[in-house]
Amino acid sequence: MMELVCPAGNLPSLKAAVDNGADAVYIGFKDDTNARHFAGLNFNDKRAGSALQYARERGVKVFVAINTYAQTSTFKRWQEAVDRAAGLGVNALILADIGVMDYASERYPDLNLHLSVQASATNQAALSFYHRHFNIRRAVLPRVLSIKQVRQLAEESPIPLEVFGFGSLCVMVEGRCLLSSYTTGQSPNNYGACSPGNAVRWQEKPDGSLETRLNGVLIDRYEAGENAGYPTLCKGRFQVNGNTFYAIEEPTSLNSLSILPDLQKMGIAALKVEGRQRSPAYVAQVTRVLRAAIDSCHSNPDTFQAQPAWLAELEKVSEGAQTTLGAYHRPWQ
Amino acid sequence: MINSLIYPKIPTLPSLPVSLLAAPVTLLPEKFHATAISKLLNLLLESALQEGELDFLDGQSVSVEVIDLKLRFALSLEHERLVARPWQGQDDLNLRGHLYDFLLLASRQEDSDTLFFQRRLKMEGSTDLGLEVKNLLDGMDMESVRFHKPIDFALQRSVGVYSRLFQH
Repeated sequence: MMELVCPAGNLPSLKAAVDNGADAVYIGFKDDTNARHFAGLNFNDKRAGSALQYARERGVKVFVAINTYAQTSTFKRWQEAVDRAAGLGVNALILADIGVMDYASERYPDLNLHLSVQASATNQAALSFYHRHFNIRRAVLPRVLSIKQVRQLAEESPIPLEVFGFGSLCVMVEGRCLLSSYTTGQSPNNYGACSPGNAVRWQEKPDGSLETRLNGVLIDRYEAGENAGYPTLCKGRFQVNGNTFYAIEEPTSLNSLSILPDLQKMGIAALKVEGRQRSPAYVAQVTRVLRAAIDSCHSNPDTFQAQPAWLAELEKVSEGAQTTLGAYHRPWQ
Repeated sequence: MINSLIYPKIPTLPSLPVSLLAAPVTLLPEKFHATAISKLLNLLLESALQEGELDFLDGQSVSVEVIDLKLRFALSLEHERLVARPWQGQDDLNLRGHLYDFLLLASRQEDSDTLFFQRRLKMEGSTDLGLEVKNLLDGMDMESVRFHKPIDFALQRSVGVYSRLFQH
């Protein structure tokens, strides 16, 4: 059965994931070694220890995301994060930087290493490279591939694959995106936060509209009553040739429930939920829905249909309150 | 392929006149509310305060506005205790919403980003401070809170009662 991998930015979220049917939960430490480096979020050593204990007692795995890119001057912090995770006895590390992979695979040869979506490996040769050199045992695919491309990769991949099942979408050049860096001067790939809080300002206008600014640059204006999204440049509205519209990406969430039987048939090992920055309520709601859907798909793959109640629950928590199949459904790709 | 939004799934805001809710609150002096809020928050956040998890509030002021109660107070940290005062027109962060939405958040029935996307929860001022507040509350292990059971029971009941009274 496909493994359900759920996010947790704090201990109550981890408990919510475990209690609602996650097979594995992924977490990060309280620093820039992971791609959700937001104020007050993530686990210190004490909380990580409690998280491990809670999950392990209930037969649930814990993965640690160390999935940003280190620089020469900061490499020690990434090494220490690997050491801390290994010391905790976690089930796997999710890595993106080949230097960090090299360190982890040399130092802890028995530790499971997963390739982060941030590494953005999209072909068999890339996956084989990571497998051969760093003994990577699973890869999370970036969200740029169509379902046809995922199928082809699943047939050729030397290692099991994990794909995104639900969550907020970004412009999907994971690990290589420069948009936030361009506006704020801080790169999400090193710093671990796209649109860091210190650069974000929301302002409600007298007419009820809401303006979003990133480092002083107006990136969107939501009309009164219009659903909002995260304050990222890729989801801003821009004037292009006299038209103002979402020129790069709309604020949407990915929802892959309708292609669950396809993913299962092609032997995808795990389904991932995005959202370590969200609350325990989100984690509980989304985990519950995906647990039910995966179980149902496993029992009846040929007659599986996403239930309206599941879709409604997922749409409720979605960014911009709409969902999409994203790149999975691109016939031209 | 975009499945457009069909229905707002979180029960929407009350249809009763705001004054009905605000009346009993406005009858009491603002100082009274501030004192009650201070006491409650210090009780709820006792262990977080002891562990220094609210130190990010040092020198900062967060105002909370409950629109339908016509209530706005400012929170700050003084001598490792939270102090609520009637809002004096200045703050570093303003959080604004209706009572029902704050109840949904406090009872952990809804996610703050969900309410924000739906324009139910408003946040202006320092976004980092807002993230600190949100993540502090999300990260609290309710079992470590004294009287967490009766408090949680009261919160869950309030959401239920509010839904029944005010739903369309």
